[in-house]
Amino acid sequence: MSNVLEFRGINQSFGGIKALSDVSFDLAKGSITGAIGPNGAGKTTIFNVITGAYRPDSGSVKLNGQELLGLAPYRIARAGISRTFQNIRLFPSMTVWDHMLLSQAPRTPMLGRLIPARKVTERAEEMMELFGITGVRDRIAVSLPYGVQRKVEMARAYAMEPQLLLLDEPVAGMNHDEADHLREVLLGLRGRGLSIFIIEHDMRFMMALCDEIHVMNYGRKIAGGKPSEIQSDPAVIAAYLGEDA
Amino acid sequence: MLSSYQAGLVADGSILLLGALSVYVILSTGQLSLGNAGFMAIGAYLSSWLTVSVGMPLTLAIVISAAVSAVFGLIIGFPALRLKGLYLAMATIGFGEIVRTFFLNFEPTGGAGGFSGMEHVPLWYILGWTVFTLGCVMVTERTRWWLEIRAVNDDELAAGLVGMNTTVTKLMAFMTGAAIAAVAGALFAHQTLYIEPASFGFERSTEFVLAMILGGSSLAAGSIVGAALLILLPELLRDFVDWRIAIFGALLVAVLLVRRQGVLDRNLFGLARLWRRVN
Amino acid sequence: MGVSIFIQQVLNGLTLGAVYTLIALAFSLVMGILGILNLAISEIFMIGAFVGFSLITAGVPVWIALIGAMIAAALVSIVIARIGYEPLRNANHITPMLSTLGFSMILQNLATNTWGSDPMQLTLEGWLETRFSFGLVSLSVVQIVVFVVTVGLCVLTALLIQRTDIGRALRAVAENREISRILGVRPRRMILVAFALSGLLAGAAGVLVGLHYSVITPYIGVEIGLKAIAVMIVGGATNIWGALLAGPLIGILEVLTVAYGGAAMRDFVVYGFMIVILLVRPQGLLGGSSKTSGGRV
Repeated sequence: MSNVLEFRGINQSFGGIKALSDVSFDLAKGSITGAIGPNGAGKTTIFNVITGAYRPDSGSVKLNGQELLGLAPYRIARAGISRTFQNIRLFPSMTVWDHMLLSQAPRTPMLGRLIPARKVTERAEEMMELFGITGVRDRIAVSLPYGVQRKVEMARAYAMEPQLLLLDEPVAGMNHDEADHLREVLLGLRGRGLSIFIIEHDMRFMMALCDEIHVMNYGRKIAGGKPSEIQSDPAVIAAYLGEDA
Repeated sequence: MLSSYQAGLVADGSILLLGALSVYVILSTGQLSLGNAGFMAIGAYLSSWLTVSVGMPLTLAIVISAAVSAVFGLIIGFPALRLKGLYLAMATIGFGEIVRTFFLNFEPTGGAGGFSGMEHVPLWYILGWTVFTLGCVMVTERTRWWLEIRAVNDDELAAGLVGMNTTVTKLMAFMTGAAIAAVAGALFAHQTLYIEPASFGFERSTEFVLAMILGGSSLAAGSIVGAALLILLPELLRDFVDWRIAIFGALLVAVLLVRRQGVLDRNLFGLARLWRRVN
Repeated sequence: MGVSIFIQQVLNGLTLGAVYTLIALAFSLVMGILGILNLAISEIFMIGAFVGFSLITAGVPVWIALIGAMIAAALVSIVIARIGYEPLRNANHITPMLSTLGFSMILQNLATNTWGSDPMQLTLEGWLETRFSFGLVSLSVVQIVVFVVTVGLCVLTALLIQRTDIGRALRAVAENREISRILGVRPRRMILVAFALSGLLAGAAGVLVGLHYSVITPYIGVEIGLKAIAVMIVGGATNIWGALLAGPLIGILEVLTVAYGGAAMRDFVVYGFMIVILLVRPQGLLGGSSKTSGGRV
């Protein structure tokens, strides 16, 4: 299986503090990969490096063989990576429907953005259907409950037709049923060929969802492999799972 | 028929509306320009020179002036990419003052003595431009272009991450605003028939901002209300004519305190739409 | 000959620069501590000039007129803080700036209705009239008064901010309003203090300008006050001491432009300088890292 993303030898420091030390991993095409680790382990930093918010000191990030480092965030987004945020970032003035239209705009030619084509509105409807937010179509997105906002954010990200979807703690604020539903949705997306990279603290959710999991601690990757392998890895148990127990 | 005095009021109101609109387009991306009188001056002087000294038809002169002003909008818009909020507002104050002093020193257009010789335009011509420009902005407001503009205002970082080139969006807004202000300036010049640098000072820029904020800063139609207020209120309050500016100032403060979005706002229209759907 | 004219111009430039310094300091006190641009400061300065003028014309000694004008300006500033800033302090930075714009309109209108829009002339008498001549260069007592008052007020402001509890509290609010609250500072009170201080400085600048030019109009707020914004930017908007460098610098630059380039060029040069600084070094000459100047807005 080929890789959608190759994240190689990344070092990232902020004023002398090393946020990532020589972190490398690959994301297989059409897979769901997770990143776990204690707070401050560098998981969100990885997202910020991939999406172009940070410029790492060294290393390389390739999407389907194309180097991403040095590209402006919007170019990386257009290349096929979309993300959600740990603390949701929706557009405060916009309805759910606006979000669905807006996120498809960059892929349409300039004049095509004047009046939404049927293709665009159909995809917008489909996204809302998929994430179960059709009922709140005309509501201002930020006025919705937290869990629903997360769904809107994911729908916005997926509406961009990404090749790789980055989700930062998607089940935070959701109850068990909602989390289970989300897992089904994400498995469905994988079935359509989408690659997904998730940061999440909810171990139950992650173990049942991910094909592969990378474990971060103090800016280093300390383990990586199938969920079952991770669970029995002594380094992981010591560094992370051990703390919880 | 309107008396010539009333026609003058309508013309002034139309020009003010365009000025407010020029601020509105730029503000919609979250950037406040306090220098749009500078773009207005460019439009006024260039179009007057083209019609008087070159003998060009007015409409062509207006189009050219708007295009040139848009180029200046691009030039002043570039710093806008690096400057945010108050720093941008201060830079635009500087821009407006620089344009004003440029014309103060520029003898070919009369320097401090001003420039004249323009032919008076009929009211319908001014109204035509105003309706056309306002219509264009209001139509654009209903497109996804406008969603992109609002996205830049709402959250620039998130806008970039959904793939939007926020740089282009902000520059386009600045250029559009500059062009609209130039149209206002050209019409102003051919309405008053005499222009001087003092007509395009800081007070003019703030007048545009005032009309836009009072009328409603979240939609283009607000500029209609704002311009109407600024033109009609002094007519209604003849007894307080000396206190006109102070009344507007107090009104501005009051609106910011009580109803920040201005008289009209997007939700008011949203409510109307909801009402139609329910019935 | 040429040298003494140059020295004379530099002296005149320093006088103007001293006034700019005070107004710019007034702007940057509010900008640096509260992160907002109080546009009304330029009109508070103008009001200060008129109050001082009226008092001097009524026969009040200059020193008392100076203090009276400062107090009047500070009171106006406090009113603006209470009505125009406090209720809006959690809005984005543009909103309170617009409300101060509303107050500038009110103040200017108030001045034109109270004192008329024609220039007001002040005839100085007695010791204020004296000029000292050194060859071709001359220095007036008024200029000396301007220098002494400016330096004195800057020193007092510096002492207040660096050495007193009020100053420490102000700096704490500037650093982080939430944390300062935890440390027991009352931000609301500090807002008033910052506005009052800024009003005192602007009021003093008004009186000095009146003495220096001996003519004032209600439009000096826009003509001179707005230029102080350029001074603040050149010096560094978040570093209140930037004004001490940029004030004299721009004062001299402006006077030399008038002397050698023509009077009408002066604003062109001053605002051009400001825009160049904004592009090349947005944090200003004495500003900290560009990060802080970006973070404020």
